[in-house]
Amino acid sequence: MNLDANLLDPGDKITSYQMAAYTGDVDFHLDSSYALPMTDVHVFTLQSQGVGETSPTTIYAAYLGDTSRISKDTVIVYCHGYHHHMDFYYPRAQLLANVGGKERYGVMMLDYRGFGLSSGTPTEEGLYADVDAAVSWLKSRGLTGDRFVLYGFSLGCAPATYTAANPRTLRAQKLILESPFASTTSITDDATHLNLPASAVTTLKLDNAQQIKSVTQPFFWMHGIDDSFLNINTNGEVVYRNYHGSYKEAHRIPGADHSTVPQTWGFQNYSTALLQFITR
Amino acid sequence: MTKCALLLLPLLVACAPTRFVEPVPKEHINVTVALGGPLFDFANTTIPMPLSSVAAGYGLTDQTTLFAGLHTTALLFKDLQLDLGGLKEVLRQDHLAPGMSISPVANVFLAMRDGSFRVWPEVDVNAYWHYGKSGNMIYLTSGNWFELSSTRADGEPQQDHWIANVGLGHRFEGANWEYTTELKYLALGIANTPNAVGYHGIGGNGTFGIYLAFTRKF
Repeated sequence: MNLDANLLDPGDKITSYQMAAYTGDVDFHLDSSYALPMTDVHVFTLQSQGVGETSPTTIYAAYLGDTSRISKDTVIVYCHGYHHHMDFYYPRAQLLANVGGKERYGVMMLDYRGFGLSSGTPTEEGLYADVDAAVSWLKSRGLTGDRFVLYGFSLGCAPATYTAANPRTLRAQKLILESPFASTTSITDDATHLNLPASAVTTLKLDNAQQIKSVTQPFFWMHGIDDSFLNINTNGEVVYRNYHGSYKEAHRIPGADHSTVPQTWGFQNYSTALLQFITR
Repeated sequence: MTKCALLLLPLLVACAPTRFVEPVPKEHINVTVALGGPLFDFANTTIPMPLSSVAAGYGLTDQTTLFAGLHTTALLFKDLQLDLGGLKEVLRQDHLAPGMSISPVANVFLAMRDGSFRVWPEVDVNAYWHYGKSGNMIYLTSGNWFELSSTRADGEPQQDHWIANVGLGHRFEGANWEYTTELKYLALGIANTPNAVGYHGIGGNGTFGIYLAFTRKF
């Protein structure tokens, strides 16, 4: 018995992808100026096979943008958070696609195995393999490392940071983390107030605080000061402090909770900061 | 984000009710099964964590008891969690003046997945009043856990070195059995947010815990 399934809980189930037409709960809504033509929203499947796995798992992914321009565009691979699926995170991906102008960036997102309509069961290795499957798909269509940006939100910070530190298919140019946890141990210790090892309750070894030490690419971190789920001081600040690469910038957002950084910061401020980082 | 990621992750300080409040009579043995834990949000309601444990105490003298407890829920997580301690009566009840006892405990923890080992010292202070002909008992308890490690996750400085709990309990006294209910206020003065677990305390601090214990007297 362990809490792995609680940490990697896909949460709500769906029967089909709706993307812009999704009417369920989301973190925020965007006005019509952010809308993307449906011809530029592509939902498809990928085969993902992790280290030590004997057969591939079918996962779902979505590309927002013109697929014929992947060999020219800068692409953000968006690693979403815990407990939901691509429909839930669609507004976030849509926002990223519009950073710096209408559909300026291609955005790739995916449902990790077990999330959304992706088959299989979530695992730690599965997170890394699934993100790499998305990167492989992009590389096969001409994406090169100098135009490849990794973005992680919450749980998604783990595969984003890991993939930046340990590229399997393509080395990302930059890393963006929103509301990261430091490690499974930091979550455990925050909950118990003791120096309790994460191995007490989970087999997962997700450890952004360690992985970030191997990231040398430029790094952008944002975190809500009022994050009620992941303490900014024992999580985000630790990840930021442990980064020793070429460039880093921090954005501590007053009043923002765990899932409200973009909307509390303001979509324009959020977009401007990301644009400056991606184009610097 | 809903606070359900770690819904079964308990405050270790909240795994069990107060083991022994007054001494077990000399050369007698009491065996207790306990159930309960801190209140937390689950499936749109608030319930106590269903943590279970067993404990046995031996009356070394009429004033001194030695005891050991095993946390059975922790075993399901492949964790060996024991509390090994003693209790000394320092004041006998005299009418309305309560009996008082002090109980030093070593909370021993072994994560069997990777061999991680921890020990947390604890000191409990109890005041108790027997009332009525049946000998039922009301008690107040103060539990104090100490984190001796200077660091916590990721090598960061440990912030909480003293975790205090207070509790109010009642024990029904039978010929061979005792039935105890206890309400605890855990992690006194320590903020319960930010936290992945939705605890219920007062003014954003601590959390309440509810426990039942069934004791067989031998």
